[in-house]
Amino acid sequence: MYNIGNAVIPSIGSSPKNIFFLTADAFGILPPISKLSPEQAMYYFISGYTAKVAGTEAGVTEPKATFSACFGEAFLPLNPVTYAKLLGNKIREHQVNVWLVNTGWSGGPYGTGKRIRLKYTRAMITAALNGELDNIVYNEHPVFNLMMPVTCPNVPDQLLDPKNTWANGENYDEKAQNLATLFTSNFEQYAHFSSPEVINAGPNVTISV
Amino acid sequence: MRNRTNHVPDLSYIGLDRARNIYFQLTPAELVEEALKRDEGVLADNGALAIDTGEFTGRSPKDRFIVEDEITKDTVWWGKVNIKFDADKFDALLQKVTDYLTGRDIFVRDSCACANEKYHIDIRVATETAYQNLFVHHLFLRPEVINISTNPEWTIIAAPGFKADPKVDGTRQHNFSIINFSKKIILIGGTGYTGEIKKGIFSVLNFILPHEKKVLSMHCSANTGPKGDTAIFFGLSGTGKTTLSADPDRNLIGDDEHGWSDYTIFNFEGGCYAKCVDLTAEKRAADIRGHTIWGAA
Repeated sequence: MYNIGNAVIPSIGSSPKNIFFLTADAFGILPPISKLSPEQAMYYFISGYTAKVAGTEAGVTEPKATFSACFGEAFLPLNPVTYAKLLGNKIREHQVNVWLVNTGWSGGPYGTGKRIRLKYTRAMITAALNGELDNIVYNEHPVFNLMMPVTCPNVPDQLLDPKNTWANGENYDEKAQNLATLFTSNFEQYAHFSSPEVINAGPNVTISV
Repeated sequence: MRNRTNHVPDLSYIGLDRARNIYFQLTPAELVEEALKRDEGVLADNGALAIDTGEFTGRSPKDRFIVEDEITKDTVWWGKVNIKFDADKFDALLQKVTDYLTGRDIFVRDSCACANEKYHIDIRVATETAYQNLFVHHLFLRPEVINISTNPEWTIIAAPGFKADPKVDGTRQHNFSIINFSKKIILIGGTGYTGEIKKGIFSVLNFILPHEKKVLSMHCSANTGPKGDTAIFFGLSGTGKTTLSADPDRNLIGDDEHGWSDYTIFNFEGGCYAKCVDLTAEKRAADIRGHTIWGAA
């Protein structure tokens, strides 16, 4: 930091106005940007989700979900829910905007879809930082209950709802359900320590018979 | 090279007073010289010190333990992340490591963490190699005043050349990284990967700050805009945390570890951290730190 031109020294800032949870969803399910309620923020913080593109022995690559609590599970001596509760309190107290940003795939999973272009991700983050997503219309994601902006400066509208980018909408719904199941089964280990509001902030899972 | 044995802190509190030479608070240039002299690494084309960290080019989470004691037994979330270590076994292993370092050269550095004065902790790091010490210089914060007459709050001992005997020492294999909250010591052996030092302190702060000071410790990057508004970015590797927080229109507070107190976000460290393994074909397993610029102060 001592050698970086635009670094803040000493490295201190005010309480955050915006928090971004970045995920590279290689399943292509999560919206490129969505706004989280404090309970959703706690849920997605505890989940610490991304998906990696893992090679298999047959040379086929397919996405694999990774969950690391608080985005750094390996370094947490305390129960992850402890950190999430602190985060939730601070978000409410300081009225912080929390955004879930998918820097991963759109239009389908890895292999079919494409990585979301960096210039669009940057445009979405800039819009969030500038307050340009504050007074606009949002749609709720039917499975993940995430609030997706309908428009965003310098980003094509069509990109903002991931289902619109898939060739086959039913296929998207099915895969969204699969990812939702991965989230809820990962969260089981924390459910005992979490409030019902936080547990319910996760995705809806319909049990298929 | 001057022998600085006369200007060093008393290390008897950790049993390291019998080292052959104690190189205390060397400058980066001196540490690079020592590292080269000891064949720890080579100078890269850009002048950075490039080290092959050997067997380990990453942390070893299965060999990271926390001593079970009065402080930790009912507070730590024990499991696959936080593996218990017996307090007596720790004492025995600490003795073995200090015996191993007796009669060898060691590099000792006083540094600190947490840019917010209120949460500042002093750290003394004793390493077997010069490059680990250089890493500490670059990564942690640099104290304005060095006071060798007082002991720091936390001490880290890192001896990559020491190999544990799992049957006797209570480790899983020959390498280990053990945090002792009662003694305030992090004991690292059998690995030369410097991330164990960095994340050892991060784990300590992740315990102390939320548990004792109600400060949220976070694995995130942070920047601030022209109007002073702060933004923080969480994300696992490959999600764009570093890329997106490096914004030419905003100033960087830090790239990896921060605390959130009542009204501030503060960096724990002073350095940047980038993994460079396999960046070049001929340096397989090289763990070059982009910030280990020769002589950078």
